[in-house]
Amino acid sequence: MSNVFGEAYGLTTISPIIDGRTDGVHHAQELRATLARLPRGRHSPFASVSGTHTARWFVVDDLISEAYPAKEDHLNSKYLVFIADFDGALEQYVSSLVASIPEVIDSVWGHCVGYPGSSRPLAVLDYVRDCQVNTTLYFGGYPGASVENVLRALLVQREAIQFVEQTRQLPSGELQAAFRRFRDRMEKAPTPAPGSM
Amino acid sequence: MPNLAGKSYAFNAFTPIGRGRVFLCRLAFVLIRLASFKIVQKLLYKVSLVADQQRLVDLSFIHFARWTIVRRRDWPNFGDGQPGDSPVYAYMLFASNFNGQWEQYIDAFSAVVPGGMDLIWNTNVGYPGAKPITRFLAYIRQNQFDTDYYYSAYPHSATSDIRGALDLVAQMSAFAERTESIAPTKFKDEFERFLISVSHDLSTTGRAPWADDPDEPIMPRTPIPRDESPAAVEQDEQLAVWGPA
Amino acid sequence: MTTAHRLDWADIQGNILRGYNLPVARHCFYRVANAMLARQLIASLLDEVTTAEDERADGGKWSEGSKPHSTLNIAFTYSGLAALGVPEPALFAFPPEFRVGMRARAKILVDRGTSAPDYWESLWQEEQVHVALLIYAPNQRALGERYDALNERIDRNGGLSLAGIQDAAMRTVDGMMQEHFGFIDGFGNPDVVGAPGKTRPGRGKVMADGTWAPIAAGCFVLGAIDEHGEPSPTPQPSLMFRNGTFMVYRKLHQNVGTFRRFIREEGERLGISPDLLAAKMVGRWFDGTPLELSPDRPDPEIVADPNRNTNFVYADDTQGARCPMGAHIRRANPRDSLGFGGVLVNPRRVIRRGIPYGAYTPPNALGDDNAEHGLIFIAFNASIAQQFEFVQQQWMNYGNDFNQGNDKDPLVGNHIERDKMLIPGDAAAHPKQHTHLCMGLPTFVETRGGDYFFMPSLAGLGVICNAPQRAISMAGAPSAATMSRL
Repeated sequence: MSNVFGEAYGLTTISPIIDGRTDGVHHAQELRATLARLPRGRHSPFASVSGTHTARWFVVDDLISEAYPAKEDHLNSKYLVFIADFDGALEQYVSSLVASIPEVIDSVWGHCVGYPGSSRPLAVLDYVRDCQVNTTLYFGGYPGASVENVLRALLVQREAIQFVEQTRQLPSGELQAAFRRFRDRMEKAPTPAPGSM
Repeated sequence: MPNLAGKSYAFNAFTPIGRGRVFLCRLAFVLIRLASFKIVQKLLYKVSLVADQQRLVDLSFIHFARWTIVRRRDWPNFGDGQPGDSPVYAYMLFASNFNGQWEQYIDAFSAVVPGGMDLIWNTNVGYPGAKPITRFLAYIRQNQFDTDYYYSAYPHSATSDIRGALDLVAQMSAFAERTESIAPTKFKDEFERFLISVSHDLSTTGRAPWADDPDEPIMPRTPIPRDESPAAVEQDEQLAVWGPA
Repeated sequence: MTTAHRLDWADIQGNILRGYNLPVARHCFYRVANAMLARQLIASLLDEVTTAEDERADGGKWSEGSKPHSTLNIAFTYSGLAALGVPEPALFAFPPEFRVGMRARAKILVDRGTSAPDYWESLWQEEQVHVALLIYAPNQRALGERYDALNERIDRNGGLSLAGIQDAAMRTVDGMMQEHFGFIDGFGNPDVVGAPGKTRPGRGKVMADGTWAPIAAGCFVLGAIDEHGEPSPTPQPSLMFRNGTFMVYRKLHQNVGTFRRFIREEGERLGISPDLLAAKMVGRWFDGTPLELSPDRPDPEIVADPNRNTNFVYADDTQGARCPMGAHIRRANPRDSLGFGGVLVNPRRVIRRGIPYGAYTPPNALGDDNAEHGLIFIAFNASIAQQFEFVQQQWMNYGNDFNQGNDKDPLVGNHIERDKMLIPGDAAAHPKQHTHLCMGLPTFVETRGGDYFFMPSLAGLGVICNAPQRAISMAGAPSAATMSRL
């Protein structure tokens, strides 16, 4: 039962979607439309939730049945699955979500049964825990590296190529000085925006 | 149906676990996790399972992957008039982020770690085995759920790019320390040596020509203004009758 | 130990399993004007189609080095099969990439910028090409004779109208083809299980014990067992598809001027000879010597020995010090570079039967980017998507599998993003070899046209022109598998 791999936490939640319509709005359909309209890439709301490596939502309308001799299997509700890989502990991440992107999570989980709303952060944490299913086996390709580590490393990688190209012809002493300046610049450089690398 | 974010693909599948076989399924994962401990690795060196675990790492196109057993009682119920769920089967939810197109990825798994795939999925109903590959692909595809929204913090970077970048940073620190007080005339030679050791870490990242544009919206926020010209109206009417060409 | 199943050479068209190695070619492309007449014409040509058999109608044997007067082969695009009246269930059984044709796959193939279909020759715009008649010959005279004879019959029949002709001719050096940049080419074709011809070390796949084995036939011939150990997907009706193959045909223009200037100027900037720079881009010296076997200089003795000129693995060169990971031949066939016993490489092999077109540039000339010359790239594979398209997209125009990030194949990649190339150094070499970085590569190869073709077996040709009885007698005794389906 391991939700953690290296420094990363893998959260899986399954939330029942409110059945049918309320005030004419069909929850499952509106939820899908909302997800389709969310900005992507560097404009994604998750870019402002620090420590998010990846995040996804998908709707489970029903289970997929296998052929004979498997028994037919159905769900009585539709469910929204949320899967995220992030740095740090669950509690701190959920409060990040509530603090950074309250309207977004309200517009998505607002279609789910029992969601308390971002105005009640502690209740949201309880809600997430109630919806959480523990990961059985979790695997990451770069354990121990936080989002910040990765973004900064990618920046160094990009700049290093330029550095190598520009300093090819320099004599040894000047190269050494240039290298020191390069390291200095890298240390002081702002972390690239999530979703931009 | 945006399964893609730049170079990353979000894959999700729910597969039913045979009745009474949840314990076996869990055991398979325990074995795999145990195999990741070096001591156990040494003890079980001959076991191909261990080799498979290492191979999984070596395949190095996975950012994050997880397997979750969803028991029959795990489907949340908050009352509120919501009908509860206790399906016939327990399910295994497999969710991963990897690079490349999904067929290429599944292809590699079937070819390289069939033992590992079998160990994980053997308890699943209808699983045909990792080989032959066409049946494996069909089973996986049939049980795939497309992603409705996908975000990756590094859409333009593949896993090996990231690992290369992290290695570069580590090596650069070590190199800087090593050459802290070296004579200026000797620096260039050392730098050449350092370059050679990191030549595989200097990946150019960025949008791959075939990859998705991660910034592009799936659906525009504002409705597209309707073209009211006669030609467009006629086309709309035709579409209404015949469907898209 | 099972005996390898010998393929039905009489049923499989020629130049697939064993290259003709004939120096001149005329590729004739037709549009179907009248389906019934066209089918009659093709039926009348069945006797003349060159197969993979060793002994020919003229009594000569390929294996003895005897060459025919000329050869003839037939292939179809999807729109061609539809135009000929192949029934819909059979049409819809074709894989999607073949059905839409190569122009529609431009995004996948990275045919962008100057390689975009908008800039292709008029022959390859719209769906004009239905049928391809491919003629090869030992000399221009024989080629002309064969073409004239065919043309006369085509004219009389009236079912096909000519859309265009592509002539091609290769210059050879010691029997090996030389392409327009100056490289000796043609070492990389795989040995195939059950195919005619000799096997040579290095051409197939390397086994755990270091020996070489041929690649499974199903990678190139529909219905045979492939490298996954299953029969390569063969749609129904199997008589039409079995023993057929897919041909990828691409007219690739070569910017000889840009290439020669690049290796000269960039070589000077880096302090290495143009020949060495070219070799690092490709993985072989101009004369064909593999860098892996001779990293410092060309070696004609290695080139001349078919047991040596492609006999190598990359196990001792994981850092790419001898042959860079991103070099052309290492991308096209990574051999043991990707680990796992080659299972990620072997299913991706293709058979290449390319032939240059246009006038050659003299060795010391500057080269002219606007001259009409390049390579007619022809590849045979059982699955265009899993083989050619995969290699083109993931190995030629991307570098992740080789830890090269976004870097493309230096020679054939579409450098629309002005990609870089990194040549690793070698600290152990004497003299020491530096790391070299070339930024902003120009594009040396541009796509000017082409399409995906289906090259059926003789039985398949018979089915397509509605002459199944004849097709069976052409193919000799049908196999048990075929009989059971009839």
